[in-house]
Amino acid sequence: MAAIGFDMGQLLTFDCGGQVYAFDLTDVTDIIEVPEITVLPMVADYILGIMNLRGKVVPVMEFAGRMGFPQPEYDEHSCIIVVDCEGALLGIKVPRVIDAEAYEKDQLSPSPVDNSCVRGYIELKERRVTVIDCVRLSEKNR
Amino acid sequence: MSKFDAGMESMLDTFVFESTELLENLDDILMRTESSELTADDIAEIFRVMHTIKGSAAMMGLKNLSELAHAVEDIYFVVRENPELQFDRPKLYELSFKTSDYLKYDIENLADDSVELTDFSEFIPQLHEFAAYLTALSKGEEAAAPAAHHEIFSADEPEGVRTVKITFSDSCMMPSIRAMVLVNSVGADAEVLSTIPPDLEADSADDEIRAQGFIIKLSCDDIDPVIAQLKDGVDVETVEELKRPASQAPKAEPAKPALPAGSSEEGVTTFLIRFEEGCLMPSIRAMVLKNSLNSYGQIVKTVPDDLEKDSAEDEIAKNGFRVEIKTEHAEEALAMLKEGVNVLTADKLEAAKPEAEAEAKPAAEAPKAAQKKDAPAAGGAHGSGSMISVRLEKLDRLLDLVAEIVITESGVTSSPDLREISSGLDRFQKSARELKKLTDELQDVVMSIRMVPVQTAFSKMSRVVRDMNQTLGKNVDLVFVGADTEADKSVVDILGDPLMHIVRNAVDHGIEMPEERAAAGKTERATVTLSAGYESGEVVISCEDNGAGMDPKKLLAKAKKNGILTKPENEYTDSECYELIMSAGFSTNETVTQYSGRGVGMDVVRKNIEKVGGKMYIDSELGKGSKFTIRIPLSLSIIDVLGVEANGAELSVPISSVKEIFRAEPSQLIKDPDGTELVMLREKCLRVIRLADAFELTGERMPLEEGILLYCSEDGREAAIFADALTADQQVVVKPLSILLNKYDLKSKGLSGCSILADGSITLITDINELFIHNGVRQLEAAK
Repeated sequence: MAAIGFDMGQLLTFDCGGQVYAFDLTDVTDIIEVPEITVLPMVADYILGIMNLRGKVVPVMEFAGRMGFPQPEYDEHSCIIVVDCEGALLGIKVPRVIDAEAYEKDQLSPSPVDNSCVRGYIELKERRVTVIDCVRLSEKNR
Repeated sequence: MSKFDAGMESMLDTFVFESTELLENLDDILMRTESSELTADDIAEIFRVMHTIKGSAAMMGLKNLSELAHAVEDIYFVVRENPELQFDRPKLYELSFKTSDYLKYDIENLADDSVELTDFSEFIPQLHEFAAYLTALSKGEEAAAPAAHHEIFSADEPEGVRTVKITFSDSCMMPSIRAMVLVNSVGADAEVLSTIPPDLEADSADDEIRAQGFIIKLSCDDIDPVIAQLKDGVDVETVEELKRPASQAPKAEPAKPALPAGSSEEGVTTFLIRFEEGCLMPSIRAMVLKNSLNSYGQIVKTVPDDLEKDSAEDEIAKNGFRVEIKTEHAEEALAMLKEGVNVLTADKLEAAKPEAEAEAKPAAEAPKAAQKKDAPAAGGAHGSGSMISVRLEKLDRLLDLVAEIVITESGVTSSPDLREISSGLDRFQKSARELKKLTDELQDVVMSIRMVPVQTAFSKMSRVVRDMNQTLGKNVDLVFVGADTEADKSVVDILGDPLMHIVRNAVDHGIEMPEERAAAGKTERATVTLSAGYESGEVVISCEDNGAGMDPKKLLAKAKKNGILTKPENEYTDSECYELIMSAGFSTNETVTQYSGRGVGMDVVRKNIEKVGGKMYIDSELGKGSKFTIRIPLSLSIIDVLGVEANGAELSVPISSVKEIFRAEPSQLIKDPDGTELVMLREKCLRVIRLADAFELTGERMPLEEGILLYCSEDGREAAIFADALTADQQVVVKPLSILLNKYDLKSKGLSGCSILADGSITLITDINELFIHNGVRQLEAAK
């Protein structure tokens, strides 16, 4: 892996329905197996419920559902990526995590859409990676 | 640049915590004594507070704070020394309160680099002036001795003492600190006898060193390595050895100061140890010596006897440290004592002759009497018993860990692997049960640690009301009810600011001026009552005043003028009118005072309370007074709940809301024409609320007679809650739901939080009151 300088960042890439998405690695606190999830009533369908993360109660969101994609196949590789959304933890269920990859920050093309969950796009290993803004994804300030 | 000395970051927390506690203690004393007598103990305690803050602030490099504390200390010094003095007490209290506020402000903002340290250069002279006034009052006694001019070579200096003068570069910020470092650094090569200035912690030390240089008196065999070492010191400009001018050479062997008599008991040797003037903490040194002496024999007695006392320092500095020891190796012990750090002289005292004893006695008793006088003060300061303070985060971590242990414990004892070996596990089972008992107890203890009485938040309000009485002249009494109600530490901390706003508002806007009260025919004293209690898993804090109350029409008119109405004027109910004052940009007070501003307060208060899942209610009656009620969930506190199951979901109902649990007979059930299910319980007809429906849980509707009904009552609303089955009766720690779920507003739909159970699973906790309101259960007339 290349040395990480000031203009370098790292992404945690994951697969959902054949597309590659990523979170900034600094936002990610845990990657865990899918635990028992307590269903929460009266919330959106893509909020799967809440889970116990070492004594903390953390809401879990299904990534595909949140983005409006059809439900992907979940198997034993499926996991929960726990991200820190400005102090609040959020679990995000994804079909499979790919890798942690370094990238140059100026290579990222920011999304021109306002208030989009997508922070930007970047070409990594000849695939297009969609970088997700986890705070927007969490709908925190709504 | 950081406000305090680099390298002190690790001390910041401790400094802030200790100083805050000391200042609270100070406020308590001031409040208590302002209208009554200021006893000698109180003065001594205030003196101690200021002295400690001065010292620790100087250690942190907070020059302004330590100077401020020093100035106040000077005032109380005069007060302490002249107990009979009659003086301007209101002024003393004004200055003391002001100091306390200044110190609190700076200490509170210490970690925030954007807030500058306050410049007290205008305030401190006021204090000095007052100290001078006091001194003048006390029959023109001389003011505190001005910075003494130190003779470099004293007449009785023994030979072989080397004198080294060090000057620091002009850019050196704190030469006294540098000097201290140097003194420590030469310790290996030479013995430092004394320094000029002698007290490096004194505030004047910096200036003195700048003006005259820093002089160290050493005793050593070879001065050269010492000088080389000193030259290496940071910011050191010059180092030179001074020689005593011939004319100043000691003329004669100075008369040895007469040594007091030692113990006359046989086999007991008495040592008198004197420490150098520059010795910073003689009592610590004395303690070290005492410990080392233990290996030579049995220590019979020391003077002063308690080295941890504040007065011990002064006593040792004045009279020396006296040890009586039963030993056969007196000479070795004496040699050891002489070797001690900062020891100036160590002498063996001869047994007293009878006449000398008589003389020695009063001298020995004097310090005892002084100690006795100090004792009650010290007792008052540490009246809270044996307490230690712990960072809240550590407790959180502990609580989480204990929860993990409990889960792991059940994981181990009910491991599926054990099922395969079904026999011969008797001893294992016994130990497992023991372990479970212990972990349960551990969990209880840890949970109880975090609970503190709301008293802490309340008592701060006394000060607020006191200050306002002073400026506004309203003579308001502040009354506490249920101040011993316990809530989680974090909740009590959150309460501080909102309470302050509300109490200020009550006194400033609520309570009328005495003339107005008299005109309105109100004879009772103006009172603000703060009360606390529990209600359905929440802490309820209310602030009630017997002032003017609020006029809904006036509020409405004002709101209309300010353009903050959101619906037609005539649709507003009275209680909605009261709530208007919590909107941004609202104030009914014609004049804006220093205590309550332009209505920016209440909306912030409401926001802060809502942020932690709380609610605020306002009630008022024109001419009678107003009542502000805050309900905050017992976040992280323990409540008793009934676990129930509804269409597969695990839910918990706080036991405090449940009046009765029953199964319905078919004859009790009624269905009214709209299809609403009702149940007759004795003479009462109750609505049935299915938890499954209320929480939109999908699944089959169970017939009412097969499930369980909970007759719940909350705030005048009653209904029967229906669940499929009762699963548990347990204690849980309520945790609020993640703020990421705020947009679903689950709280107002009846879900107040969740809790992690012993097996690691999560249960949702219902809020019966909100559930009733959300489902349109009417409030009984009687409760309104």
